[in-house]
Amino acid sequence: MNQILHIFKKDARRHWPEILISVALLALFTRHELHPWQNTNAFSSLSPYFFILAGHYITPATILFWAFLIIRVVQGESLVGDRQWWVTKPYEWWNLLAAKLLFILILISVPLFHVHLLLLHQFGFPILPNLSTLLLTQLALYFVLFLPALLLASLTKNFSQLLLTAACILLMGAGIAWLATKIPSGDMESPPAIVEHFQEFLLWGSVVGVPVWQFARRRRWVSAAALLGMLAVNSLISVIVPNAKTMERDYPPVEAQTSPARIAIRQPAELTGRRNANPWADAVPDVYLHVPITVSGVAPRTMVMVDVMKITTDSPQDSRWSHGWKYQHVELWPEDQLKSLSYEVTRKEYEKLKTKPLNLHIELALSEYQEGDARVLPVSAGRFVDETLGICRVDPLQSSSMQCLKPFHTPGLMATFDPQEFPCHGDEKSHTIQEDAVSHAWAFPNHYSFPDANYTPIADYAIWFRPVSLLTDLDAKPQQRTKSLILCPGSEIRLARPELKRQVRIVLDLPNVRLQDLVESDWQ
Amino acid sequence: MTAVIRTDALTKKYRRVAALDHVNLEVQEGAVYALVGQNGAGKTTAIKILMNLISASQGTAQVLGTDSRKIRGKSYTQIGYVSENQEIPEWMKVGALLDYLRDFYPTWDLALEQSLVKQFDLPLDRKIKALSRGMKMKLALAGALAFHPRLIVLDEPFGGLDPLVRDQLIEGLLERAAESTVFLSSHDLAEIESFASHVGYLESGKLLFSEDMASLSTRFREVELTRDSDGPLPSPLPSNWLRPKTSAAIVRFVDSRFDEQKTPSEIQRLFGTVKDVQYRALSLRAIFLAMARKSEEA
Repeated sequence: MNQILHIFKKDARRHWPEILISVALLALFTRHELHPWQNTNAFSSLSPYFFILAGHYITPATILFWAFLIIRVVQGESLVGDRQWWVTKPYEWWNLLAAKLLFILILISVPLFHVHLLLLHQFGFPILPNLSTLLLTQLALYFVLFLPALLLASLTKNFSQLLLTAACILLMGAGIAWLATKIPSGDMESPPAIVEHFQEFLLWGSVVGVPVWQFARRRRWVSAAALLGMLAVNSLISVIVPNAKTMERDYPPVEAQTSPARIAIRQPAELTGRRNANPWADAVPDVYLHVPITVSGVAPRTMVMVDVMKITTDSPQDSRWSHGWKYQHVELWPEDQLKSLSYEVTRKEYEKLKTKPLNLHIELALSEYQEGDARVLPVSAGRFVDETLGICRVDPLQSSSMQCLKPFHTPGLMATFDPQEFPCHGDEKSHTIQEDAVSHAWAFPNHYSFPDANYTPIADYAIWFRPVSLLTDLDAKPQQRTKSLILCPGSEIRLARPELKRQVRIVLDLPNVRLQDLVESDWQ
Repeated sequence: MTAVIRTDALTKKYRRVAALDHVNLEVQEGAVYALVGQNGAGKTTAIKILMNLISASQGTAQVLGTDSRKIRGKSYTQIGYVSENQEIPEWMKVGALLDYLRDFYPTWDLALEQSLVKQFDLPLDRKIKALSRGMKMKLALAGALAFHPRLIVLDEPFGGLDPLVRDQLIEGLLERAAESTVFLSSHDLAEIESFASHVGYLESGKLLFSEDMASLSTRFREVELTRDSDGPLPSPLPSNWLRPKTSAAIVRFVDSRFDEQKTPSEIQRLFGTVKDVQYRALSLRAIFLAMARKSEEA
């Protein structure tokens, strides 16, 4: 313990200027977090403009500076090479590692923890019930930021080496991500649970294990090989695991009649008057096929989410072709009638097939959510507190949206607002009139087993009621007063917790269609 | 006497090049052992393996009875290591460095530290990065001596230093040599000769000899003999006669296995009666040069 404190005191003495900068950044970060809605009041508040401007950069700057400080401290006793003075002194490796972790704990973690406590307190959220989550958030930060910084620092001799290594790892990551887009369903993230846990174990095990090994043995190339090996194994698993199969198992096929939403594909020809050539279409490497659909039959107080889509084509001349499953996350509410789905294909494949008449088989994986614990939430003037939502207010700059603050996570929600029941009047000068159609807002239900590595304990989120007119009144003239959904004090929102009812898969056919018709239609 | 350092077929290869080639070495307790050799002979490699800074490709080494691969942490409370290549924390002040080191060593002797600071004239308030190379070496040596190490390991401690600093370092070292074993590498042979008790000679990774200085200076003699008439050298000459040269009737060579009985009889066998024979003792530098040139010629 003496040696740990001894090394810690030396590091603190050496790095006092950086520690001061870190404290200053944390103070600015705290100030920024204490005023989460300041930006929207930028021109009406008395806050110095500097703070508003700096607010956008203060969190990334603080995080980067912490990483820099950790790297400096670890490289103070470099673990690379054989000329370092300290390696022939009676340092015990575990004491050295503990001293570096103590530095992170005392000079980064503890101050940040206090800031988190302060933020919870200032916003009026109770501390005791949130304490365990707060501590777990700190632990998550070790895995996401502190330990990776320590890992990179332990494998490099100086800052330039570190930047080079980080760039190589980023390039490797980008390469793997690019590779994933080339494999059908490669970007799907639905491996079996056991595989997912194994991958997490490999990842977090190496974030902890490699620095420990490097501190104990100082064998850089062995440590680096272990790290790269782990990354390679993880990537290989991602490639070979049949994500599509897992996904298809989770979404059993049903007949269109028993689907939670009746979905039909509109022929592109129906979309007359909206065919414009996209001037940028040839510049992008990938092409998005847009599949217009009509929707009906969504049960009241439910929402059907189109989670993923797969398009398979065949033609008399060509063999079957598909790019596997692609994420959609398109919401289908009871009032919805027209929607559009999009599917990414490579330009090369598109150019090959675009003019040929093809039969498209479109598979949609759907999740049906129903309202749980539905209740009415009256919208108050100014800030109001709700147990589920946290602290909220109507966004002064966008009246169709509510801004909310809640500890740690955005709550999952299904919200419905009927403007005809609660008519609100927009600003005369803004040329907006109240929307008359029912509108909805949605946030995915939470299934967190471990908190996110957030730098703030306050989740700042918006509940946005999307005006239906956006989709249906595309031909509205610019001079016309636009319809907008307006929330005002006295309005009532039906608020519910989303409950997953079932997941199904349906198949739709679109015969004799050219891909170029899907691209040109509805591209805006 | 127990061996403080012992190596057994110690080998270090970098790809196909052997920096050390089956080196068997033994350093007895209390010795001042100088490992000499040309640049690139493998001296620093040997020391780095002994200090567990790099690993051997083959063979083993023991330091203070411990396998050198296990030398770490507490082992260094008994070893004072100084190298010309060490990266000392230059941001520290001299006094702060000594303060910092003090807590690592249970046997740190504050009085000795102060005495070394005085002897080496170390400026406690000056930052290390502002020190000259000689001062840095003196500081490193002070830090390596102040805890009464059982073994002092010095890697090229005198390289590039002016004579005054060298003398100060040697003086400081010798004053503490009685309680420690000293193992150092150097090609500064004149200094080594004045205080080393044992010497080992490395050539291209091979240890050509390792013995105490007394026997070495007895073993090596420059022989100068005057023949009755000039003529070619008899052939073959014994392999221990290094760099034979003739000048008219005079023949000179270095005998690396001089023996008061055997050498004269060997001369008589090869040259017959000679007018005069002189045997001169050699300096370490002369021995080193003779060995080095012989291997160059080979």
